[in-house]
Amino acid sequence: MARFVAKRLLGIVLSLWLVATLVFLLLRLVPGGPFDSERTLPPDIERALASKYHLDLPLWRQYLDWLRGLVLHGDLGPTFRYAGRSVNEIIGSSLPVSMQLGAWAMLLALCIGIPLGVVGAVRHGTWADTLSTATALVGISLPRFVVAPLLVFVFSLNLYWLPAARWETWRHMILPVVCAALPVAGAMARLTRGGMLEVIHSDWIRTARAKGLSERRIVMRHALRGGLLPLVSYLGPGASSLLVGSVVIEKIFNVPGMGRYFVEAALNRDYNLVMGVTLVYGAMLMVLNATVDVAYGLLDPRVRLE
Amino acid sequence: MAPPAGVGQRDGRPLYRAWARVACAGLLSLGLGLALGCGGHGSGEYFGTTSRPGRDPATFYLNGSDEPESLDPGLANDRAATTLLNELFEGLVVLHPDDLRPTAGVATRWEQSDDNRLFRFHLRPDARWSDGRPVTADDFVYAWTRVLTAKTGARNATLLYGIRNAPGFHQGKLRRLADAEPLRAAPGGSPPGEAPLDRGTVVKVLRGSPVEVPTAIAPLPAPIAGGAGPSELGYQLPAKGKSPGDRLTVAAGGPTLGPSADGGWRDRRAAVLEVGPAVRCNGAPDVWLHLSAAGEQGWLPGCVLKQNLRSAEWLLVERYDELPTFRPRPAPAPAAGTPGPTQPTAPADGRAPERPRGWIPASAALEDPSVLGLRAVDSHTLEVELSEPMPYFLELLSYATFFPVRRDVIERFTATGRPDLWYRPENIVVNGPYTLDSWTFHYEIRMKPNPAYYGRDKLRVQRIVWLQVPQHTATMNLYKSGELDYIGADVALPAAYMERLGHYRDFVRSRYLSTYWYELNVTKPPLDDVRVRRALNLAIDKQQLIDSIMHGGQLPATHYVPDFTGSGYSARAEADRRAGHDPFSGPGLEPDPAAARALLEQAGYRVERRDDGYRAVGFPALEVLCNTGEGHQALAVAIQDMWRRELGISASIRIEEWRVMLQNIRDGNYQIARSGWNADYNHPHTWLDTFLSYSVQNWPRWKSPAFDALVERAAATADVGESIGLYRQAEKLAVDEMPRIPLYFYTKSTMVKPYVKGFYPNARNLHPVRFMWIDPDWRTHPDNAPAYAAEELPPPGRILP
Repeated sequence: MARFVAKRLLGIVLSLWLVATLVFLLLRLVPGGPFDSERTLPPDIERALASKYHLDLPLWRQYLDWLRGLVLHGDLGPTFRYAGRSVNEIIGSSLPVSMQLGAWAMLLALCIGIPLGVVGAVRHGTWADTLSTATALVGISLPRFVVAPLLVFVFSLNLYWLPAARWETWRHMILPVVCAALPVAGAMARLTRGGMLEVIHSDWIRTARAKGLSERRIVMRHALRGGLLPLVSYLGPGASSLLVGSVVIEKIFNVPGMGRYFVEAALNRDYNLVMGVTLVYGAMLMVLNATVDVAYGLLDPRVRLE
Repeated sequence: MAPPAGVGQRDGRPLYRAWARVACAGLLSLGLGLALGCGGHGSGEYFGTTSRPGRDPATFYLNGSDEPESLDPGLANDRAATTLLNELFEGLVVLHPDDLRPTAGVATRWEQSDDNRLFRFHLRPDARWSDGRPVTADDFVYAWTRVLTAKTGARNATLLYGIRNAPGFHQGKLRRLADAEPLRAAPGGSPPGEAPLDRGTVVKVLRGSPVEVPTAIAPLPAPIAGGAGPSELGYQLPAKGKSPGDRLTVAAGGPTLGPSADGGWRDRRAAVLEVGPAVRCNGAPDVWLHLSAAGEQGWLPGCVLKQNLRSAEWLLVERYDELPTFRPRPAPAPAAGTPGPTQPTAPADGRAPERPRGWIPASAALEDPSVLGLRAVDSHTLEVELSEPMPYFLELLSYATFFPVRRDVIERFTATGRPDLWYRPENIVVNGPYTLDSWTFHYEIRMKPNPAYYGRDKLRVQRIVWLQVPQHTATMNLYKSGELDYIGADVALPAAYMERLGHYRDFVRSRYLSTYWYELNVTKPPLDDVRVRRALNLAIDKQQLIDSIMHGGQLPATHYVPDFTGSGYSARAEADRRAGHDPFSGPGLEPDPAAARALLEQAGYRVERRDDGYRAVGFPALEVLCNTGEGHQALAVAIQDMWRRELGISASIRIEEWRVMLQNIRDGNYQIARSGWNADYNHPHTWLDTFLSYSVQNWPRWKSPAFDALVERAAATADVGESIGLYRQAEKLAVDEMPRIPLYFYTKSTMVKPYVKGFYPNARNLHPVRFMWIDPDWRTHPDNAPAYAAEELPPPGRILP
């Protein structure tokens, strides 16, 4: 187990290094620089700006300096666009917001998805199943950029119950969290239902039934544990879907999270910020996936972690 | 994992019901989503709520849209920052929010010389920084000098280039000798017998050593005098369309040098051995230099060489005499040559002026801001000397780059190594009406009144909440639900809903000093033919573009400077129109497909009538480069269609991301590119400057000495009417040559709640909060008075010789 974790961690570090190197090179290949604008800069100013951010050094020096800063001091460097702000500062202030949004959305998705899936499996073939499947389908099929304006229209602009945008009180959080959670909840419901159906028809459940256990006990204790396995393996990709989806949600609801920098920084050729955001996202995804693998081993006695 | 197909049937409830439900929800949401931008249309006169329940009437909520990149007035470059800085700082003059006339700012009166070259500003004695210290003339001198110091890295430094010697100082070309210094014939050479230059002499740096040879122009065995032809010297002319650096005319009408057969010197570092005779290249005086690189030796005119003056060890200098005197010129003689974009060409005889010239070690000459035409006479009097009369100088003074800053504050933070922290809320010292209260990165900025501001008691808005919501749908939602009082200057309303939003009474539209145009790369055939360029222009129905795509009530443009530009331009345009000789309307300028076809025929392309339209025989396919977003693509498609329909020309569209496109335009890798120009100041010069043959902004690479001369003369003409007339002549010349196709003059559409008073639509989209207030009784008082009346500037006094 410990060996497995150590191996995975090493793998993550290596992958991140590869990602960083690749992104570093790719960014430099993209035409246009961070200080380009409609107004052409006199060469002296261009030089002054480049030397302020060490862009006048040879590429390998820039790369090594950046890597040294990161490894020795955890410093991702300055941003090129926002004078006096460091990448650490920007990520430090925006990542917690994204995490908050993501965590609440994940929690909500679990709270909706699992019961919905269980109901669908247990009441297999009844109207409840149809309802559950249809609901899940709606959740999956409707993109967030459709759901979000719809919810805003109803709850903010007509009923005046909830604020239309921003991130201040718990009331501001409701709409973004719900929007972020819905597709994930839908996927979870379907996975739970599928997993449960498979388990419910298995031999050991039949045995449990034969033993005369109550239906409630069978479902909650025996079927659920096995039935949730597909869901657990989905948590990694699900979390990533939340992360990526946060770009849309954060934009629509003006949530000050990290999602916006995903696109914006690349458009601005804000090299350091792109590197920082990519690394943070990459690290989060890899760690989540590794955690899921570990959890899988704990939940399913058939899986052994080597 | 897909839903089992049998589920529905077994239950007797077909699955399509579930699907139907999905479809219904989808359609519903789609419909609602569409209605969102203008939800509640027709339900009232105003868009959304018009009450502010529970909101403080002295707090103003607006959307700043974007995060300011820097709140340092000298460095700020983006719209968000300049808008914010207008609340935080105050320049010598403040533009009136209604008609943009300069009114009193830190300066309450001024004097100027009759030739518009000398300005003396008198600062108000009660102007205070937010820490209580007085605002002095030295603060302005420091701020402007700082912008012109290259190390500062101010991107807008060129705005200050009108100040005497500013370009030379900024580019490190004007230096003061730290000690008496002999002039040597070559770098490192022995001092000659002649008397050295005195200590404190100002010299102009012509070149450094060693230098880099940027192009493939091969060195000559000896300097040549004008007259010899290139072929006699073994040179060939460069291919058409090569970058101008590859081509060099050595004297007016003289030989043209180009790359030699063996490739010449490309990007080599060459040491200077000797200074040769004077030469004129591409219209500018220079010298021949004897160079040595990688074991080879040869002569090249200095003007082809590139280098970083600030890293050179030896400098080729000549004595420089045009120092500021702060005295008016006695007679209206033509101005003497100074470096910079408004430099008049050298004497017509082609000879460099006779001044001591030679090499000195770089360490002997220091960069010294005292060469600038800028001084504080006393703590409340500021004097400025310009190189040339600048008709738009007063307009410039309200721009953020000209705001004063505090030396001690900036230097304190520079010393700590984090210079950009000085404008954080806890550190910033401002002289404008408001100061920073809090700054949440990429979310919200709050401002409160500057307690020491001289007009503090007149301010009616006591708190500004500057939201940063870049997305226009979210902005509209916040505005509709009453969380914003004003959409903000930088948020574009969605074009698709513009017409419907236009019905609301809180919708505001104003003309905006900006022109949208297509750059035509005149070095690329077939665009090197003026008839082709004009034909392309005449085939575009600009009004139709506006009606069917832009929807913003933009004004179709037949020329480059918006008709409503101030500084006397709009008055002149109006007068011309009334007199019936508007140079920018009528045949040859207004859309006219038949005339366009005739022009193409003249250019040698037969336009055949085909059953479904026209076909220009032999006309090569064109390519239009435009960037993603904002309807640029839709516009390009429409133009593509007009060219195909009316001229039978096929054009393809290349879409590129903004910065990629900029790079390609700059490198000349384009044929036609979408672009435009926002006014830096309310004067025609800001647009026409970009057509000058030496302007870095001249992306079409169109060069016209006649145009350059006209603009230079116009800028140097003191009389407003005459000057504007010359500008119009120059513009007419450019329109005739059509290096850019003007498409439309911008408008800005926004929404502001009816209870906001003191808000005026204007052509620069400037909406300072200091003049605004919130009137709870707006229904009974419909008048729109500002929070207080701007203080007028008295007419300027005269500075006499």
